[in-house]
Amino acid sequence: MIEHTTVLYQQLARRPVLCVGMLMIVVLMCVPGIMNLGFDDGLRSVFKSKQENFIRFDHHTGEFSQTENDVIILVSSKSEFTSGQLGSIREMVLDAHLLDKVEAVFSIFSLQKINQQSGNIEPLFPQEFDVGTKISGLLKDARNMNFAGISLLSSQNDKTVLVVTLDTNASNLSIASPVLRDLKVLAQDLSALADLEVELTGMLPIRNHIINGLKRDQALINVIGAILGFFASLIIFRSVIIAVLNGIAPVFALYLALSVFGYTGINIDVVTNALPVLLLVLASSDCTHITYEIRRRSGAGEPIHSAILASMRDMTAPCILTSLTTILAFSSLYFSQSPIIKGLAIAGSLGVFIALLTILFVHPLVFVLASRVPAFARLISDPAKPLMARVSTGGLFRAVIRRKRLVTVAGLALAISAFTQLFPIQTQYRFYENIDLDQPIMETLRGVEKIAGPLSAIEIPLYFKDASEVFSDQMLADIKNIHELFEAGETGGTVVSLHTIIRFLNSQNRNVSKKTISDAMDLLPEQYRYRMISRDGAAILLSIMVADDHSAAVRSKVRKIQSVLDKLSLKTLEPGKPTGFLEMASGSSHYMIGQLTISFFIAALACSFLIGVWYRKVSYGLAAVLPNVLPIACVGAVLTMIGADIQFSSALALTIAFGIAVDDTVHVFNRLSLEQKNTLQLSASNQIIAAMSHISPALLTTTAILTGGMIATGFSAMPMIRYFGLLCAITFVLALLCDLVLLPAILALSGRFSKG
Amino acid sequence: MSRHMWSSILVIVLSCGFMVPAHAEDMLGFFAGKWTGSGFVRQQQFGVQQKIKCKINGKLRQSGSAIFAGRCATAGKAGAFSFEVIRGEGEDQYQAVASYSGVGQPIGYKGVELTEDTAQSAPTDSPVTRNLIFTINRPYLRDGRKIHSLIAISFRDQNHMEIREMVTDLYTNEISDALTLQFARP
Repeated sequence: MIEHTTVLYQQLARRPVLCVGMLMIVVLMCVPGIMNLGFDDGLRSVFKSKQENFIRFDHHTGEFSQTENDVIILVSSKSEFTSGQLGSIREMVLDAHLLDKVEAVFSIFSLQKINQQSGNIEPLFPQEFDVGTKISGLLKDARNMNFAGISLLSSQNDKTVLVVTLDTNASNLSIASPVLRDLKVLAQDLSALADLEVELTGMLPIRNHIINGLKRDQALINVIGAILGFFASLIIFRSVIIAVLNGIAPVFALYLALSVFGYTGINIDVVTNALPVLLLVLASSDCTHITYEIRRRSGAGEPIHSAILASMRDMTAPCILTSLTTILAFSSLYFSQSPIIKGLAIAGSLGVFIALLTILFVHPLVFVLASRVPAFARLISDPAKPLMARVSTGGLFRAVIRRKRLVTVAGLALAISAFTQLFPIQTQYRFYENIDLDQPIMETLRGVEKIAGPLSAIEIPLYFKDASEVFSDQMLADIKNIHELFEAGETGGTVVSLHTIIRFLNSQNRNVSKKTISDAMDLLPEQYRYRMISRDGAAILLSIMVADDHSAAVRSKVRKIQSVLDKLSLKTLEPGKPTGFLEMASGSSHYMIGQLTISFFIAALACSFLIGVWYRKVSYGLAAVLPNVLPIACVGAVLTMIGADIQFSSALALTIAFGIAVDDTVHVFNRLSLEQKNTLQLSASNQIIAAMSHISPALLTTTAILTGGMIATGFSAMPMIRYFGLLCAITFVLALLCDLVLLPAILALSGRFSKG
Repeated sequence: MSRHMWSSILVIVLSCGFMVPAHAEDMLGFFAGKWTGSGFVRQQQFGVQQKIKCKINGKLRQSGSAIFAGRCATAGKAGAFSFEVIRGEGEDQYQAVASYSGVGQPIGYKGVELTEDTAQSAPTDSPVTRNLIFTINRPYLRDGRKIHSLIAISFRDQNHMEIREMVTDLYTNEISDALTLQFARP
């Protein structure tokens, strides 16, 4: 195959203008793809699987309506609301009701009272807010009227919560976005009209915020990544022109990959967000190896075209192998049941493949074209050595090889102790981990929770044992018992159920009967009604409101709730297993992060196997394991020790970083193979030292570029992407250390195998 | 054709337009287009008044009817409704079917167009109000009341419309102005 590529490169050197023309056509063809690139937060589909928690939750969402389509509006005044402000808020509520896709608005104006004289149900607030209206008394009544289980007013009567529920189609953000825009306009109008602060929050606005962050990230991170890559190249090659030439193919690879994503419908979401910059730095890394080789050869007096051809002949194989190992790492993620992680597996594999093709075609073309400009040609064959080439590393490798047993055993012991710390895997997940907690939208959410209490819930469906028991006295007694049991229990917090309505009726001096309960339920908009009683009327729901917590804490709460339910004996109701988004996410995330661990081991095994097969040396395959697994184990162990545990981002980062870290090892094997061919007279140890001395500057250079590129993720709007980038960067540095210290020791130790 | 001839045709066409009696125009055409309205509605038809806002869209159908559908909201609740007006057998006769989300069966009405006589004596630039009065075909039961309903739809001009509903509890003869809505083109 390499011979075929040599023919290709000869053609490329002979007809560069034709190649540029072809590239221009490709560039033009890519434009529609780029325009079609889609963005999706992916948060709704992340847990979609055949896992028990998800199946239960999926069934549950069919029975009871969920809060995921709620937009929560916090309206704040400087002091207690005036009648004028209340009138304006009510106008906004009316206008919000009439927006397309808005199904219901729940606010203090939804509150109803029972006229004690006529017995009629009436709105709590009067039709007009006249000057003489006693606002304080009405607001106090509204605050105390805990009709649907949540408070809507602050204790100072200066803040109120409006819940705007969109229809079920609006969980698709492309449908919800125009409604959110309209609500923002209404909020701005209200703010300007009545001197109020009006802020939107809730699941949909937060998801919308994340999408906007993704779009911003794609523009920002890739540009910063490219700039950092350029500066890393500039420092290393000490030439602006060479740094620019080195950066052209990676930028082209990114452009091509994004276009293909656009054409194939691969969206940028919370997990693929870091992929483009990763492709950029991966391509930069490979290009740097090639540039390094071209300059080395031309600096040694070889004609430039011949240097380019020879470099490509030597570098094509390792570039293909390094791309294959990275593709393997991405492919291993396909083992996950999560659609967005499967999406990352496909996008990553496809992206790396596109980057490989681009590097092998565009990068030599860039140098062929540049060599036609005499000034550039002089720069390419500049005898000045690249910066890293001045670093003398021979002494280090000699010392390592002298202590090869000690180094290998120490590495092995460190890996074993790191794995001991890492297992059993402790996982962690939070729904809001993709957004900074100090963002205004999250501050508003906390403001809402101060008034309304926690908005997340662990939900328990209670099925009627007998249809005739619906709202019977015994059933009402059962729901009272279970409601009060959880209210007083150690799981604590607010409990919302049918009993909340019964308490409201009691507070209004209404007798509690089947009819009065039904009448009270009818006052609720349909979506809210189905949060208490199932759509088919076969079950009622008990919601234990809890703060959004780490998945481990939620799982612990669920276990406690389940143990209470196990001991419970109700005559008319049969409790189902606790569920809800929070429970499902905490259970599924644990399972899925566990799956990612398996993905990592698949990647580790597959990459080692591939290397062994590629070089037809078992020793290479085995030698690649420890230097690349050790950094992952160390990072994982440290995360567990500091209590950060393994999150989605860390599991993904460690698996992908492994696939990339192996690249350096492949370049070492490639150089060693070339040294073994060229320096037959040298001993195995000296061949290793020669190969390591030759390749280590390039390894330092590419690690600097990779790490620099991942530092660009520090500018991401999403904390998990920043975390992903940081872990990747740390892993790359550790992997470099392992390649420089551990790998030569292992190679020297297995010298007798490698000769075979 | 000379310029004078064109002018003569134009004058004749315009004159004919003025001579057409208002009630001969297609009343259903008035419904077409978008409307926004606000007013008052009584809770459970006889209860306290609440503010209401509506957003509706009128469409003419090829079958010769007009459908008037949209969404109305009070501060506490919102719902969709539709009101289909169908031309009746007589020149000024109409039928209608009203449907409300969450409320049982559609309700049938029969109606007649009544154009204000006072319009004849009004100044020539004063618009002629055109009314459609609908009475319910069959009273219905709700909340222990037997309800008879009368709906008046008035067009002051092409851009302004008023809808009023008066209901009577046939058991107690209690009458209530259940709904008053003023609409304009957005």
